[in-house]
Amino acid sequence: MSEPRFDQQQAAHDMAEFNQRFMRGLQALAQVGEVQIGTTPKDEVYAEDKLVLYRYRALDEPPLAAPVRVPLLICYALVNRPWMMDLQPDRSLIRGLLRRGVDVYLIDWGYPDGADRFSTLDDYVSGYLARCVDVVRRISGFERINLLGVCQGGTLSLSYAALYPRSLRNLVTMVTPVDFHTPDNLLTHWSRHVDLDALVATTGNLPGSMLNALFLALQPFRLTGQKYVGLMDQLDDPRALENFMRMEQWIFDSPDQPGEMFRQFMTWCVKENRLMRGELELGGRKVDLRNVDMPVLNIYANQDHLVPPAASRALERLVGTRDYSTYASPGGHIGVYVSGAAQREVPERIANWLRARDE
Amino acid sequence: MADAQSIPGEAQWAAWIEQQREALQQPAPDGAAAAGPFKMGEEMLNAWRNAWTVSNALRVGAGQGVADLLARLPPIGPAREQAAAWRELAAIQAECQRLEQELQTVLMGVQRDALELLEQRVRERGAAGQPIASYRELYDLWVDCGEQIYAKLAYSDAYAKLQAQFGNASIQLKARQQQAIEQALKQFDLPTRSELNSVHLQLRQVKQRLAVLEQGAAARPAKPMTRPARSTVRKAPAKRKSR
Repeated sequence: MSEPRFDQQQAAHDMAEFNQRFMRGLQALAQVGEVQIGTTPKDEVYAEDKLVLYRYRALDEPPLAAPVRVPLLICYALVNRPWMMDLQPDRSLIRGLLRRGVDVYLIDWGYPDGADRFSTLDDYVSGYLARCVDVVRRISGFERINLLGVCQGGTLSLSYAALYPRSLRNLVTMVTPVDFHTPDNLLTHWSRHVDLDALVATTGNLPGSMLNALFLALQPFRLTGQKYVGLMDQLDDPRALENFMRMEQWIFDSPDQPGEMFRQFMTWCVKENRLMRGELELGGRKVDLRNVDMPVLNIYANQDHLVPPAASRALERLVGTRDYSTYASPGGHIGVYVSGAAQREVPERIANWLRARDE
Repeated sequence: MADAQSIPGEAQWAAWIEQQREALQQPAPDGAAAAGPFKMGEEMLNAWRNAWTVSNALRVGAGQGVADLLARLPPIGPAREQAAAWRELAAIQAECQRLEQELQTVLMGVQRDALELLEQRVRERGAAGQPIASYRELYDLWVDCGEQIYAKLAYSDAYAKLQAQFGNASIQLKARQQQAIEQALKQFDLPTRSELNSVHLQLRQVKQRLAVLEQGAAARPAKPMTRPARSTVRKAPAKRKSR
């Protein structure tokens, strides 16, 4: 077998070109300045502790379809900020829903601090989330509203739906983990031997930076190196640079996880898989997914490395509803909100699905 | 006055020493006695050096032994609690360092194996008539190899355990450090995290009790929100019956 050889001249040319691009890139990056995310106009309709509930204003353009009468409340995860749903005008699930005539509310959990370290999973499900549902019911005048849970927020939403099924007309779950013990779930695999009680007792709230480090460690070569080398390809495109910076801002804007809530979520849901096994109890009540009898749309991402598709798909055999739909979005955990394909498909599917069940 | 030429310089001394060393290394023609005083001196020197080395080792060993013994003794005296806390802190710090080192070694192994896989892939590409054309292509291939090797490690039980052991040890270390800091803060009557936690917990309990009371109040039949002012509810004094 012949030894592989590099063309010396080509290599030198590559290096020179890289250096030039790098310098141009630094200049371009310096000119990007401040980027904005989550800019779709909205109004605060309720606030409690760190939580703020927003209602989005209707867009100044005619809707693409007939309005959906029943409002939709979005329950985002406590990991990262909810602005991934509204990253920028042309990459915004929320804007896509508004454009299709959906009345959208969003829970912003804020930045939990030391005062929230003893808040429990039940406080979030039967407390904050339940009160937000009540506020939306009161404002809209509908006895039952639509709820959309995202990732960990989907797990909270499922728990709420199981405990308070009469408050919901439809439930949408997006990249929501249900079965935490699928073989490809690396986060569960790593957490198995971690002393979570000691961790939370020591850190109080779990620092967002710690979670970030954990997520980066899932694919260290790609996420800590290749991503930034790849940035070189976009340096001549100011718009692409801004997109990159928005995503970067979102990724590393990580609130701390409320300590006790995190401990319970990790122990009960992740380590012990109680939601899946029907053994989760909140506030002394069993969270039985068979009580989820309202229509359910489950959206997952085909190449999700954080919530593997199998972890979401498990929902189908657990819920009690007879009206169960799924949609497998191409791409990964984040792509489901911001990729070009997702922008075309996801809001359209959600709006159509809700409209068909708007009664 | 000594002639500069008559004083041996450094080079001359070195040459002389080398000469003596070679002489000492010459085999004795007819027994040790023939080696004369040089041979005897060398043996004495070696014996002395060996004795010193052994005694030094014993001394160091004994010192270490005493240190180990002291480390195992239960702390006593008025500073018993502090001594125990500092000893635990030192022990867990050492354990943390050991585990971190072990983790580093494992991760270095990933880098090494990734490079080996990269070499294999580059050869395969060459053999298939698709040689690497640029540094960027080589870099991307290295990333693919790295992730492939890392994924194999990341999904192994051994790595999950090692990572968790290191994490758990780090948590213990932080807990011990917090204790030490809290101890110091108390000396100055400054608030500690434990006290804050206690306040947060009490606040939470108060909020819960308030919520229960509010629910109970909401469930009861509505009553006037405020009691009318006394002056408005006081009845006019009954007229005395005229006798």
